[in-house]
This record gives sequence, C-alpha cells and structure tokens, in this order.
Amino acid sequence: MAGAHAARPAPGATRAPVRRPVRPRPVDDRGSSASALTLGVISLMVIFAAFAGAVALRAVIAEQQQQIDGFRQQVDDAELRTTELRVQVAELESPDRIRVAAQVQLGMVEPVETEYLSPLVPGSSPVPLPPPAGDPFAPTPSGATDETDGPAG
Amino acid sequence: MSPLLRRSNRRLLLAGACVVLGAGLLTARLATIQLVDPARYVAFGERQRIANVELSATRGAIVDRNGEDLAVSVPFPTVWADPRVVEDPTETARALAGVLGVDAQTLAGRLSSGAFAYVARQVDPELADQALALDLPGVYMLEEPTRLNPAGEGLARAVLGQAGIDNDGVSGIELAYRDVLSGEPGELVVERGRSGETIPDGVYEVVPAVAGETLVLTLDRSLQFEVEQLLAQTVASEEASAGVVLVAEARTGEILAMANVKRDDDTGITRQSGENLAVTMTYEPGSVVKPFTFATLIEEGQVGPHEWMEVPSETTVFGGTDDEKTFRDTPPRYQTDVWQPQHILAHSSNVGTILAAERATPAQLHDNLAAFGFGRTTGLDFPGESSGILPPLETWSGMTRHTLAIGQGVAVTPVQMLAAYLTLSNGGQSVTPALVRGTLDDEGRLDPAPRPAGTQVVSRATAAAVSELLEGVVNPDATGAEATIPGYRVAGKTGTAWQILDDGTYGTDGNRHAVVSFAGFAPADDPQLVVLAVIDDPADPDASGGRTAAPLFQQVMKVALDRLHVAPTGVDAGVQVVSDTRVRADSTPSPATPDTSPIAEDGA
Repeated sequence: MAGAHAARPAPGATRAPVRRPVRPRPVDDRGSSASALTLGVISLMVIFAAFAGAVALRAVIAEQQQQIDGFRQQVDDAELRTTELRVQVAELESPDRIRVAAQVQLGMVEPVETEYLSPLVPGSSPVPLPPPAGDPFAPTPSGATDETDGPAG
Repeated sequence: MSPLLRRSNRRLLLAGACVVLGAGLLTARLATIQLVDPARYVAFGERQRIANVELSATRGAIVDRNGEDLAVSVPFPTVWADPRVVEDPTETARALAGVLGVDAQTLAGRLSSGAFAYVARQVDPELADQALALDLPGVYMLEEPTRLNPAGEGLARAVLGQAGIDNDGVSGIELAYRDVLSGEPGELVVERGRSGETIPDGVYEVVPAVAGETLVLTLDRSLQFEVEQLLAQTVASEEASAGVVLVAEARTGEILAMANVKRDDDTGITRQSGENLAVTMTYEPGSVVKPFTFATLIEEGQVGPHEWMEVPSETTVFGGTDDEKTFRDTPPRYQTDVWQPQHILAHSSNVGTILAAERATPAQLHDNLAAFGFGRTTGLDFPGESSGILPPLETWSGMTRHTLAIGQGVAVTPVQMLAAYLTLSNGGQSVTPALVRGTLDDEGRLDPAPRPAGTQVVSRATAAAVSELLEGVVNPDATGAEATIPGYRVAGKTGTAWQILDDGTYGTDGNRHAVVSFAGFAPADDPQLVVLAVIDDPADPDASGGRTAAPLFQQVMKVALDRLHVAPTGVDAGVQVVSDTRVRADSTPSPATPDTSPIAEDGA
C-alpha cells in the first residue's frame, strides 16, 4: 500500500528499480531429498531383509524340526528293528527249532541212550597224581654228569 | 465441474465408503477376536494344534537265568476303522474279511455305529499291509504291543503264563509280576500342524514312559526243554493223565526246570499243561514221606540211624473204639525180619515205618512235618499255589500218626515235596524254592530278588543220617534201583500211593488212581541238585515209584548234572546196604525185592 501512495519521482530523477516481491525460491534440496529417499529405501530394504531373514530363519527352523522329527522316527524304527531282531535270534535259538532242524534238515536222530563218560575208571583212586618235581627239560648244570638218554646238549 | 467428473467423484466416494465399511467390519471383528474374548479362540486353536499323546510303556521281557528270552513284547499292527467315515459297512467288511480272515457279518455290525471299531488286532504285518492297500475309507492302522514266546509257545507255558491281548498279565509269572513288567506310560504334549508335522518353537513337553523291567527267572531254558521232552515221553508211554518234574539247585532252591505235562485221554496227545500242576496239584504222596518220619525219630532221639529193629510181616493198629487197621508190606512178607532203618527204607516197609513211628508222639510227628513245610505254601509266590493239607494236631485220631508216617492222610503239592527234600539235601536247613532271580537294571546288572532266610529244621547230623539212609534206597537191591547213575552217589526215595476217588474210597483192583513219584538229590556226598518226578494215574496197574518214576528221575538227573557240569565222583554208590540177614532163627529170610505195587491193600 505504501507503494500506492508513493510519491511520483521527480522529473529527471532516475527511477529506482522496481522491486517485485520475490518469492523465496525453494531452497535447492535436491541433495537432502535424495538422502531421505535413500534412507527410506535403505530402511525399507532393511525391513524387508529383516522380514526375509525371519522368514528364512523360520524356514530353517522348520526344516531342522523336520530333521529332528525324522531322527526321532529313525530312533523309533531302529528300536523296533532291534526288538524284532532280538525276537528273531531267540526264535532261531529255540531248542525246539534246533531239534526239528537237526532231525529234518540234517537227518540227525536222538540217541536211545545217552552215555556219559566218566573221567575216572570205577574203582580207581580219585586222588590226583602229584605234579612232576622240577622241570624235566631244564638244562643240567655244567660239570654235572648227564645220565639221561636225551641228545647231547 | 463436469457431470462426468461429478459422477466419477460419487463412484469414488461410494467405493471408498465400501472399503472403509469393509475395513471397519474387519477391524471390528478382529477387535472382537483379539480383545473381547481372546481366550476362547486361543483355546480353540490350541485344541486343533496341541496333541496329548500317551507314550505306551514297553512291557518288560522275561528271560531265563542265562539271559535267553522267554517272553518279549513286539509292536504288531492292529487294523481299526472309524464307522463315521466308512462309506459302505457291508462292502468294507466283506473286503476286509477276505484279507484278514474275520467274520464279515460281525464286522459289518461293528462298522455301522460308533467312532472306533477294531477290525483285527495284532495281525501279521503282511496282512495289515494288504488290508490298508485296499484303500478303504475309514480304515486305519495303529501299533499294539504283542507278547511273544520266541523260545517256543509251549516252553514253560504254565510257569510263564499269558499276557492277554491288552498286554497285561493274566496268569503265571506274567500275572504275579505284572507291576514289575508293566512299567509306567508317559505323555507327550506337542503342537502339530495340519499335516501332523511338529511346529517349531511350539509346545513340546515330554514325560518319558518308564519301560517295564526285565525279569530274570531261575529256569534254564535248555534244561527246561529237555525235562519237558523226557516227561512227555514218560507220560505218553505210561498212558498217564499228567506228570510233573521239578529240578532245583540244592543250596539256593532256585528252580532250574518246572515241567508240567498233561495227556488227553481221548486223543492221546501229550503236551505242556497250561496249568502249573507243580503248585496246584495236591496228592497223597505215600512212601516218599517216610524219610521225614525217620528224620523226626532220629532228631527226637527215638530211633538210632543204625538201630536194629524187629519188623514183622504185619502189624495191627488200634486207633480207638472200633478203629482197627492192619498194615502189611507190599509185596507181602511172611516172616519177621530184623532190620535197620536203612533196610526199612530200602524195602519201603510200611510195617517197619509204622512201628518206628509209634516211638514218636503225635505232636512231634506233626510239628516236624509242619517244619518241613507240609500244610503251608512254600513262599514261591506263584498264583494259585495250594497249601496242601496237613491235618491239625487237634483233629488227629489214634490212627493218624500211623497213616501219616507212611504218607497217607496228608496232601502235598509237588513243590512242597521238593522244598522238603531241599531241606534234607541242605544239611537240614530249609531253602525256599524260587522261580525269580531278580530284575535287570538299565545297565544289565542283576538286582537280586529278596530271599527269606532258611531255618534249621533238623540238625546237620540228622540230615546226614537220613541222607545216608536214602543212598541205601538207590541201590541195585532196593526199591530205587532204577535211579542209580553210574559215577554218582544218588540219594532218593520212591513213592506209590492210591488216591481217594470221588466215592471216597481208594477203589478196587483195576479201578484205582495211583500217583507214583521219586524224589532225590545228587551227588549225595555234596548235593548240587534235587529232582522230583511225579506221574499221575499211569495206566499200568503195576506202576510204581520204583518202576515208573525212578527211571524218569534218573534220566532227568543225568541231564541236569551234565548241564551244570557236575563231575562224577568215580564211585557207583557210596553206601552199601548192610546185609539184612540178621533174622529170627525161626523164620526164613526173604530176599529184598523192589517196591512194585501200591502200599497196604486194606485201604491204607
């Protein structure tokens, strides 16, 4: 408004340059914009990476849990197999099975009478013989007369 | 603004409003679920995911003294069905019946209602696979433990008993030690996904099952088999009703073999008995009790082990008013002999035993027989064990002392008789028979079962004296001649007794029920084994303990001595029967003959 009532400059006077109100030019923040964008992108990438990492970690955990379940099943199967083999061994060692196998497959027959051999002749003394005195194969001392029939030493 | 733009704006607003409305509804629903009543939904989710699984406890195995398996539990497939899912019960039942061999009509009925129905339990795995391969809706498989006897279905059948289809003991050792064998089930709480996989980081809690303990018996599997074979052969050849053989370690009382065999009179088939006759069968033992009569007399000082006594051909006992009985020997003698106790037992003389028994009071005889274990259970703790019958002293008549002295009027079980002979063989100290050695811990070490301490029933001197008498029985000239084992000193006694029939009498010739037996131990100078052989009701009317049971005793004792690597002593008999020629001058000496017929003919 001041400008409306501004006095008209004197004739001949140099007109002062008209100053138009200059809108402040926006600060040239191309650099800071870029930084924010970068930060935002990086943040997004980090968040995405975190989510992806979490998902991957869950996947690994799930996979390992599957492995654990698999190991547990293997243990159960192995225990079952052990029991089955144990039963199989017992069945193979069954006296009845062995008897049948001996008769049918090997053609063996049961003896009519079982003779148990006695290590002692009836009437003989049960007292054991005394151990031999000394070592009969020991070399004789030098100078001693060797009267045995063995080979000369 | 152009109409087109205004319409676009309205549509946009409408769409936005719908989106907002939908989001609002979703948000409201979410809020309801999460905030209003979250517990209900959490619980619902957990019910879907969290499973409580019972971990069944493996039933403990039963092994013999050498660790050989006698009974083991193995998972077997069981085919079951959910009737709610079965589409056509009739067709499903027909298809399954063709594979599994079950009755189709009965199965169809079971498949028509309910949520669970067994189709076939514990079947062969191949059959189960075939049934599942039919891919019938609602038909599934689960595993159930099945009890197997890998050493042979009949081996020690009566001793082991059965576990039943639910894997719980119903008889025998399986029943008696059910608590030890059963273990304790556990529980698994786990979160599982839709297809059954475990959810990582989910709930996982385990209370492990405690497996049943392994029970170690005293039986020797190989010896048990051999003894059962020998017993079955004897029962079959003698056409008897049944037979029992017991083999035990003399010092420990551990039973190495407990064989029970029955013969079907109609078919003639002889096989292992499902009933443990060794503990349930009661019978009047007869002469096999006479050593305990002499043990009483020697212990009480009424008879000297080498005392000479006059033994007439018969004796009449007066039990009271109108109670009179005449006892004779069989085969009958017709003169008075002068014998020592050795001869009385060698001839199994009823007259000599009765006359000697008169020197003891009824109380002495009763108390000593009770001390030897007659009239009470042995402490074996086997289900169904009978205590036998030893008449209480206050019920004894004037005749009881005489009949009891020769093994009549008393009822015993085979294991009771074994226990009594264990006492004699063990220097007069009682030994409780045992079937269980203990249990195995996790590292396979034996945790022995507690054993009661023995008591000194008779003195060592008395036991030694009676042992010497019994050696005289196992002699070529005595009733136990068939029990001799070359190279070993054997002590033993025959027994032949008629049993009371249903009419209360002992029957008549051709219609009698005899029980013949032989009990003994070897080597007599250092007893290692005690054997009792009992044959019930042999067809031969001339069957006797000496003729029928003694050979079986000999065969069993030979096998057992060999099995335990008991070396022979190199002598055939340690005791020579003193020549019994000291007779009265006015009588004719009678040769010693084996006991070949039941005792006294007049009903004693």
